[in-house]
Amino acid sequence: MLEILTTPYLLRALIALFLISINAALSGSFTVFRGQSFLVAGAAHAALAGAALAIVLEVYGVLSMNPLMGGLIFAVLMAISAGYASREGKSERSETAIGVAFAVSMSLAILFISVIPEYSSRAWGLLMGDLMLLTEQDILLMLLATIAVIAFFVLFYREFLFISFDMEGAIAYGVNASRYNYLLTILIATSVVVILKGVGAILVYAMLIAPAAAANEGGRSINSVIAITFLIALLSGLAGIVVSFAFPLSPGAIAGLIAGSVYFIKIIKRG
Amino acid sequence: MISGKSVQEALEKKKGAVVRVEKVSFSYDGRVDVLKNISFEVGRGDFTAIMGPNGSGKSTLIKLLIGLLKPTTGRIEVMGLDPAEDPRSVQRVVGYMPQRDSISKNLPVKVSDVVLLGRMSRKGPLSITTPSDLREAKRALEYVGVPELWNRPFSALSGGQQQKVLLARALAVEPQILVLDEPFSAMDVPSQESIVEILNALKEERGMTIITIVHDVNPILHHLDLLMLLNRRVVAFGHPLEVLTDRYLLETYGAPVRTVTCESGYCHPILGDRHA
Repeated sequence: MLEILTTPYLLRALIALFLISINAALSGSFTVFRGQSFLVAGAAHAALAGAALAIVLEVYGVLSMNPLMGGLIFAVLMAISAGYASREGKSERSETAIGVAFAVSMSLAILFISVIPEYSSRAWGLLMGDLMLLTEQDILLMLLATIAVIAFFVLFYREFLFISFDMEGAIAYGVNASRYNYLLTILIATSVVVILKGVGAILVYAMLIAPAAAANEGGRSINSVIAITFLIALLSGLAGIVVSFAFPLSPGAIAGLIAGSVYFIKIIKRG
Repeated sequence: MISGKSVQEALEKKKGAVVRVEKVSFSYDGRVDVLKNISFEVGRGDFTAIMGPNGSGKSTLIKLLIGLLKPTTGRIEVMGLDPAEDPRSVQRVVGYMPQRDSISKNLPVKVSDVVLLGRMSRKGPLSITTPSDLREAKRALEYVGVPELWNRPFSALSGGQQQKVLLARALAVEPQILVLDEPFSAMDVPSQESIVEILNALKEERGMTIITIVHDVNPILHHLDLLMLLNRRVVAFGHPLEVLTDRYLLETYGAPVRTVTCESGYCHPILGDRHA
């Protein structure tokens, strides 16, 4: 039994889960604070198109890069377009922009995959994700992206907090709200890609939104919401991994179910 | 009865104008003017209110004053600075309190964070909170009479308490001018009265220049130096005793407004509709 714990694929899964939980805590909390859940869905599907394009380019010998990099580029482009649409604080415009970009991304993803039918499983794999099939290169990319996310959150926490709490007030007190709005949106998109590699595009919501939404219910302070989000994401993920050893079930799906249930239990308890 | 002395005082004060607006027009879409040919001056230490119906351009006007918007034509000076050219410098001398409903209720942010956010943002990104920042923020919260709220989550407070915290945030930046957007909206009468007392104390004790948008002018009417009736253009501007007349109110609101004249001779408009 102990031998399983030291197998490389499980170690990689545990490291990935730790990184995913950090992203869930930082980007997830701020996504919930800003009510930008839809951005997450948009960025996840844009990433899928980007990853599919990276695979196409590799298959045709044009350019060789990790599909995750392609995903990151597309997700960030999506974030920038959403940030541009909401630059005057008009969130409804951003929702529409994300909706259209979502449709374009999925069309592109399906188009790219149809070009390389023999490799389609690689691209579709990102739709479902698998914590147990991560390579060392994947982990390295996830680690670098997470370090960047942590660094920007530490440096500009106050500005992110101000624009999320009171955009108009922030501008009036001299914050370059537009710059920080773009930056925060890009960080959220980066976290989406980190989480996508582990649990897949479909379940990004489960790890990025559900834990933060549960923690924010009755949260007493920003820091406590961030800490509790981290714990919910980590424990749900661990439970998912443990269950997947006993039964042939997807660890990401189990984690998503647990995190989602915590949210609904809190809502019901609140009445 | 119109008191000639107070009108004269108000006019004399205007000579040392801290806010000067000259022939300003503004349009969001380049077609319809939200504000048309606005000119007025506010002197140092003046307590000024702007009132008018919904959509009359009140919020737009104060956003122009603090450089959140740029006039289509005309010129604005705040303490000798042009908010369209140099909004940062103008924002450095202004404490701004936005409408409470523009603020997200989705964050468990603490009162201490809210009060400090404005002051720390003025210092720029990556600045460290010093003991003097904390002292100033606590002093501002004490000044508005709610020091006990320091550690409480903002979203758990009543409307009146939230307004006081936002006022403390504006005071914590040690401003020379206070600009307030509907400080009395959705507030019970005791809370309204205590905000009025604070604003009046700021004017009397610190000589603070205050410009506020109000939907209902009555709570502050007796303390005002200047009142503007706005409906896309300035219908009337001057001492409230001069401005609040049936004719001007009719012109501003497009319908007769019932008024009650109090013992001090002030004409109090009774406006039926209220902001949520």
